[in-house]
Amino acid sequence: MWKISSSSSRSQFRIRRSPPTATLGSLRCVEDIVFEKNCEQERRRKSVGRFGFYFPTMINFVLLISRQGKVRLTKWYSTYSQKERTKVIRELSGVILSRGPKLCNFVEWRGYKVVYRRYASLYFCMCIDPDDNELEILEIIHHFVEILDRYFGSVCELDLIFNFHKAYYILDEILLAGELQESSKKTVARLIAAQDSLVETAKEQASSISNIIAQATK
Amino acid sequence: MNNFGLDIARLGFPYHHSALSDPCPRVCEAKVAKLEQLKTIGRELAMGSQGGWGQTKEFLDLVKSIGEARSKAEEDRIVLREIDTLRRRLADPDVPRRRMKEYLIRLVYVEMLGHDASFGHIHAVKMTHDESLAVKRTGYLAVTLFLSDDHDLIILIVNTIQKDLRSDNYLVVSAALVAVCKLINEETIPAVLPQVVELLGHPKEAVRKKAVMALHRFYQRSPASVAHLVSNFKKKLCDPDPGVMGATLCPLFDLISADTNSYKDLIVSLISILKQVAERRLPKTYDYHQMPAPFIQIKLLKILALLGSGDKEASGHMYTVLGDIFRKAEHSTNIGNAILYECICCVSSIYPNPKSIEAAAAATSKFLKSESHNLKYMGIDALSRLIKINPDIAEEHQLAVIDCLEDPDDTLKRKTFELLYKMTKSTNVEVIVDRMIDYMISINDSHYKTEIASRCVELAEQYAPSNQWFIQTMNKVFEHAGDLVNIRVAHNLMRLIAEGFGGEDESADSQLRSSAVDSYLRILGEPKLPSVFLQVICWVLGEYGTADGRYSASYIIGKLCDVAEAHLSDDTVKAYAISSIMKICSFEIAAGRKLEILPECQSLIDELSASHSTDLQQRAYELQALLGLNSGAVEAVMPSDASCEDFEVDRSLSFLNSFVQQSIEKGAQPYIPENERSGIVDIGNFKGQYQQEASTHSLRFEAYELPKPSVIPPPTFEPSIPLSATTDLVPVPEPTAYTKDAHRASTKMPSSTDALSADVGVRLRLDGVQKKWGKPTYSSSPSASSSTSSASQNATNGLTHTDGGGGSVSLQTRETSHDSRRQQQAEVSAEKQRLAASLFGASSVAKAEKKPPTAAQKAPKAAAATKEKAATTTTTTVPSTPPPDLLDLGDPTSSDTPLDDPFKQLEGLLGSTAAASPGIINPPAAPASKAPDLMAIFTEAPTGVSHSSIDPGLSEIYSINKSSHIVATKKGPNSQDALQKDATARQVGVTPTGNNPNLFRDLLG
Repeated sequence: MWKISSSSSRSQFRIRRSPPTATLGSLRCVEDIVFEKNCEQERRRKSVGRFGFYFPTMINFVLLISRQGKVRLTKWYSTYSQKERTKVIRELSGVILSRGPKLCNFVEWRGYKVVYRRYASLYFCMCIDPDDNELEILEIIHHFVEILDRYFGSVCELDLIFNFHKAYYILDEILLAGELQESSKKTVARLIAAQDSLVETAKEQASSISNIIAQATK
Repeated sequence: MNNFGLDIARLGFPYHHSALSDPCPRVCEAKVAKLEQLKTIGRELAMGSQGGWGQTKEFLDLVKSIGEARSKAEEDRIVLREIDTLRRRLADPDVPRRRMKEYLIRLVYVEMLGHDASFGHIHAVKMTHDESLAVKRTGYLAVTLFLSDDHDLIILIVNTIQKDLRSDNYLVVSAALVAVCKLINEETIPAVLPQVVELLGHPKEAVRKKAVMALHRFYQRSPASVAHLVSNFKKKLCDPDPGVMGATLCPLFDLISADTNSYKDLIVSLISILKQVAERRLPKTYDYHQMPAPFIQIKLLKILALLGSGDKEASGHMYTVLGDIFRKAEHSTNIGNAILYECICCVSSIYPNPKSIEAAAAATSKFLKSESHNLKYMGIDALSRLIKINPDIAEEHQLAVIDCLEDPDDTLKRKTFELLYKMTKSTNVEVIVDRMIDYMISINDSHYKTEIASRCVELAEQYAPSNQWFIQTMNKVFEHAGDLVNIRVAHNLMRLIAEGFGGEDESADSQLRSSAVDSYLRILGEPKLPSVFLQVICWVLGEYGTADGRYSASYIIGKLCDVAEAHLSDDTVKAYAISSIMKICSFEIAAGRKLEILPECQSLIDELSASHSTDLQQRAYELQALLGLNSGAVEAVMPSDASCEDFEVDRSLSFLNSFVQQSIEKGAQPYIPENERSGIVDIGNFKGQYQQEASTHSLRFEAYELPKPSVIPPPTFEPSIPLSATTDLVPVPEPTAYTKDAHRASTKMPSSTDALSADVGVRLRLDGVQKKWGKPTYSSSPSASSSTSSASQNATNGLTHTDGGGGSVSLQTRETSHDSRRQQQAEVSAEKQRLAASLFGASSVAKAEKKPPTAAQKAPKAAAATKEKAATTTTTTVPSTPPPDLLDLGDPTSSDTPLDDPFKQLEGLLGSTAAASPGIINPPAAPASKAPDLMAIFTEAPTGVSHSSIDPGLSEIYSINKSSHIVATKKGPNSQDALQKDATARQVGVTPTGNNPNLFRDLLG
């Protein structure tokens, strides 16, 4: 199950990228992106310590959306209500999907910055504080994709659609509390493999034990 | 063909990000066939994963049907059906565990799509109790995705987490720690803190790393809870595992940003870590795209930037390692640039060191010259950091900055505005603010609109060259973003109009006011005006509408009535309007003129007297009462143009003293203040305690404090003030708000000539800037570097500046063949150059600005004044030379740049990196040193060439009017003199600046 694709096999997929489309297909609500006047209040809902210090988290949320505006994965490191989440996704997909190809991979959005990167038909977005290093975030995204690629063996969008929970586990090994916790691909791979194998053995054990019990009681 | 919605193209790997957005053209039929094929592969894949990942058909069908949904409505229907199913299934008491796990994953999916699945949250919590790791992990995953740290269910999980943190299976511990990072809030920290601290010593590095991150999160939630653990963090910095060390940098960064001084001892070790990382001492697995542990390097640089900020000694240790990183940096990869950017940030934050700044500036210019928008963006950001240390660095990149400003990419544009905002001076404020306002009008994003509007206001308040301009600017801002700006700004504007220049010049003040009145009467015709702006308009019309006698009282009153009528729902505007009507009426009465009340005004008064708002009622009745008074009384109540006068409120009511004295003598009881009366405990103190309790509402883990005797604060009682008869009738809100603001520092108002001089002293540095037109070359052309005939070389060179052709074609042929094209280009470039000059010319004008104020300063921008000023400028800046004739003025610059350029070309041969450096340290000095040798070359140049130097005024004239040849020929013989003058001026150490591009236009027509 665990397969690290060699770099040569990966390179053959490098060119397989879906054709760009000008229309956004079934993308909903591009038009109704309404920036309401009092959206300010949902901005700074982040942790402010007892002494009034303000601590930014590096990454506020991670968002994977497809070219059609469908959500593939969301991870929120700062607190957002379900309603706010929907709104954020709607606004951002409107902004990001409509951007032209040669522009910056950064978007300023309500005082935050959103760094996005497109892989085939999938947009990986991360929302960061205005002072952070955008290029670094861009590479964190790439780091994540490389690890996904190793894990799924030249990853494609379908892998993420059907195994989004796996993607969550992987993301949890890379980012923690909105910060990069591990920058070694090998370490992450080892940890995920360990978890998977343990799950597998646990499964086997469970079945074998139940078999034994079943046989014994027969 | 149905819209499967699932794209199974691999997520290709754009290792170079320029390839990232490369479109991949395909033929349509091929696409269809391919999609069909891909779909089959997709199905197979899906089936394959069914076996592999142990998901049921049901789940796969759900995902697939959602993927195939054609509309949001269809998707919603599917999801709602799914929610129903799940709700039923989950309610079943004996679901098998593996099934349960899948249901939870389906719930996660449903919630990811934006639907509410809160009914299942409790099941996720239950699942974390499970002993099987697979199930537990799913439970934790679901819980971290579902719940935020203030959710009620958290308290149910804490116990499980505590248990799991004690587990001997490190994977269980890891899963629990991930949940800790997300779920544990301020109240529950104490419950898990001891265990997390213990885990810092766990044998598995993965656990140690997560424990560090968890503590980091605790620190963010509640700094006090982990304050005693600082030494642990320092210890973890020496952890044998680089991953743990890297993770430790996160909490350290936060700790250090809160308090820099107590961590100075770390500087040396942090630097040595950085050095080792940069020297590839870390395991190979931390390499990323051939860079040694870049993420750790970036984090370290961020910390060093904090530690070195304003600390000369600490910064001293860093220069070497920063220099190393600059040297080793890789420009071709994104990650290399990320490190470079972080280095620039660090350099600009620590105590400045010329060498590092030079390296940073070189890196910045690489960014700015890059084709990639991302790098340009970073370059602009880096530039805005560097100009804080050395404003001259921006000069080199004038054109790059202007290109970014005009880029269609909004992100880049906004970043550039940020840079402009930071480099605004009184000389370029007009251009910058105008640009900002134009952009502000063009966007819809209310968040950014607010930001840019407040920036415009801030800049205008700080640097406004004249009151006139300030008022116009404010009008524009209010008109387009009035609802978004702070009300304080409106008050400032009113105050400014009322106070005027604050000087002795009364006529200028009244002129200002009547122009304001004019503009407001004009603006009132516009359909939708923001409320704040209407308030200002009403107030100004009320105070000064009739002051200069050009408008009749009834006209102004009619306008004000219209305003009140058009804004029925806005009480504040109505209040302003009625108060203004009252003022106008009372001015009329006081002046002894007969005042007839218009019918619409009467109906407004009637309407407002019956208003629900008591404030409006009060004003209406006051107005009615005022109309019945005689002129003397009205004058006392509503003195004309008295908005700047202070009210004298006798708070101690001393005028009643004699009355009180009399009463006491007659045997009355003396007054005892309320808080001194017996048996009254200080109520305010109670209230304070209550508030304190409310703010620290949380679970308490420690014992109650001993009760302390409450301290009664000194009495701060002030008797309530009955308003004196005079203040009684005065409209309340504006004057009070107004006097509050009156104490603010008045806005700085440089004289209007400063604004004029913004256009003066145009000097454009083109060297090293990529050409916008023609072939993408830099100003040093390849053929020019070879030593051909110096005359033609110079000719091409001069030409390069105007049209950017950059070839070694002879001047004549080009001139004929590309005449039309060139003319067009010259126009564009002239515009750009003008913009550049107005933005960046400031530094070279700085000297001219310091000249003593002349009488012409307040004069209008007439040509005569300009000429005169230009003359004075040169005489003051170049004292050693006799007053030159006016035509000479253009020469210093025009000769300056061609001089500059061959030098650059020579240098371009030596090495491209060196090319930028001499300009950075001291731009004028470098070309000056070479001046004598090159002068010969220059004088050999055909006379017709010198006009094509970059003086924007000149090239502009050229583009408009070919007659500028006259200038060239006239100037030709003078060039040597000019050069000599230039050289002497440089020797003296003064740069002849302040040549006016308008001058030639004025002279030549």
